[in-house]
Amino acid sequence: MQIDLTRIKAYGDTMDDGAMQLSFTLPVPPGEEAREAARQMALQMGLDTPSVVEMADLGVGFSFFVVYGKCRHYVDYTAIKIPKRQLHVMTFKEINSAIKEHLGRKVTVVAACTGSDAHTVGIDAIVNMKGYAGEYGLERYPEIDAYNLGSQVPNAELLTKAVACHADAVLVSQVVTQRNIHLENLTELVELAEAEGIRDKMIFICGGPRISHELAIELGFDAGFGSGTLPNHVASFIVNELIRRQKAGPE
Amino acid sequence: MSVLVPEKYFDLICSRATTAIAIVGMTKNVGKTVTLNYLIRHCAQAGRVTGLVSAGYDGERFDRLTLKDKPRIYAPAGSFVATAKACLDAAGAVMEPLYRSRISTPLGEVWIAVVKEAGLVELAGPGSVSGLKILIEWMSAQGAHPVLIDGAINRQASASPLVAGEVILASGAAVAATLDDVIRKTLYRCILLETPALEDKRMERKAREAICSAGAAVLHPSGSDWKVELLSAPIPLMTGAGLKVRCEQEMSAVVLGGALVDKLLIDLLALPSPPLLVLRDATRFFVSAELFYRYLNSGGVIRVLDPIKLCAVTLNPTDPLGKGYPPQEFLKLVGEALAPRPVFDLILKNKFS
Repeated sequence: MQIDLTRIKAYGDTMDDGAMQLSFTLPVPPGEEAREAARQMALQMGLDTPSVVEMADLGVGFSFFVVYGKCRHYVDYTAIKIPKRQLHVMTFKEINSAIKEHLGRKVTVVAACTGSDAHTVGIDAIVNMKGYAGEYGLERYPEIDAYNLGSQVPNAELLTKAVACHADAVLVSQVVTQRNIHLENLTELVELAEAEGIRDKMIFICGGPRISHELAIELGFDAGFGSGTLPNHVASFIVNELIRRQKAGPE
Repeated sequence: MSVLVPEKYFDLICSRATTAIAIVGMTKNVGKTVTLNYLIRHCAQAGRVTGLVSAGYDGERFDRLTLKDKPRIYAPAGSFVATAKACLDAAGAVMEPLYRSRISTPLGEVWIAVVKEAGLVELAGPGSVSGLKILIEWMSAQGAHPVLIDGAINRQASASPLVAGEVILASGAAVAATLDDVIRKTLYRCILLETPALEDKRMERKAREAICSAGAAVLHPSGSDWKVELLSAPIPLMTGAGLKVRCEQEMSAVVLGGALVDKLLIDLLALPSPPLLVLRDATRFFVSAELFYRYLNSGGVIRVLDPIKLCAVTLNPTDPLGKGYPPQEFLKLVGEALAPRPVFDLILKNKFS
């Protein structure tokens, strides 16, 4: 089958038929007028021959719809370029032996939820011994000394603690929302480290449900981990980066 | 007062002997990219070869948090671009990689490339000032003049005199919920950035020597000179408690090699008369406006060793997540409050004056 990647359309039953399904709610009670409103909504979204196949009463004057239609639009798949990077992920055993072999000392990691954030689920999943989804947490790694400082830790305190225990990496978890306060809490840590002259001496990592590579760079961190991250992903990054820095020599 | 059009003004800035101009923002969505694009276009028209580097990440298709479209970055032919390897590979512009910096980012190492055919680029920069410095020096040595340093969120480390000769502050409606607060916060940031240099050259020399070998120091008067008491700690922040005790003796100045945080100002405010406080530069302020003004109002003086040159403020009257203001009025009101600083709305192509 020949697919024109410069003009891809949604696939339903046959190539390029554009078929897709939508579901949404309108703030009107169910009825013929509501059904027509849903159809017009789909038309305006670029769906030809929209058909409302489901209309359900949500109560309090709202209705839920499922609509099928054929989308007119197409996308040039060949024009899409996304910067990405593959992380070299190692297993628990591989990480511990890499530390022994290449670094010859234990790796120290300090972790916390900073500022006003009290969502420790993420940091606990990565750091606590029991780990997450069958992967041991950093505390369980014989070659890693992990300190979980818990939640609502001020940035200055986290940094002081990290320096006091000669941390190789600082791990911060934050539920970033659209509100700038969460972002500014993360940027403050890196700025404080820069002001104190230790930005290059530790690896700074942030994590949270909405954190991506791009956001981590924007925030000034060395890495960012989003949802689905397992403890060995973070440990792999830290160890690979420490080995890389060791090879590159003192900065 | 004569009205300066932004073109003329930025001509002046770009033609100065400055190596790099940093654009720093008050927060997200204050128009850092718009200001950067303006400078790129302007420099290209004036026949200047620019170097582009970001202290964060810029030029992406949409905002990672709000999912809204963002202004893209169009790099002109001949300009230099410093960005992560993955962004180089995915760029719309045709580029020839020249230099591998070995500075690591989550998207690979940062490379410097020269633009062969103009096009869109995404800038992923280093997370540290030391990284920026390496990249700026390299591009500058290859003839980039000026190097434009794009800012990130509210980060201001790239305004450091170590890397930037001139600083442009981007502010706007997104800074606060009310116009009064936008003005108050922007003015505070300007005042911090413009903290004057320590004038006494002899004291400056002593202060520089002191923070070369220790995190902080207290200068006690000794005849016409000073006796320097060094306070060593793993990082300057950890000298806090020791510093407080030393300050209870007679002294002329406190020199701080790191960040100025609220706690230290509170300690110093408890002294009979707040001392002269000397910081490295104005990127070291981590203090609330209230405490800062209280310190000054109690007779305290704060000076820096390396001053920052704030050359302009640019304004974005819109806020994608909140309310915006009529552009002309916003420019007028904020411009009046920040006078005599040059304040521009680069979309209106206007300067308040």
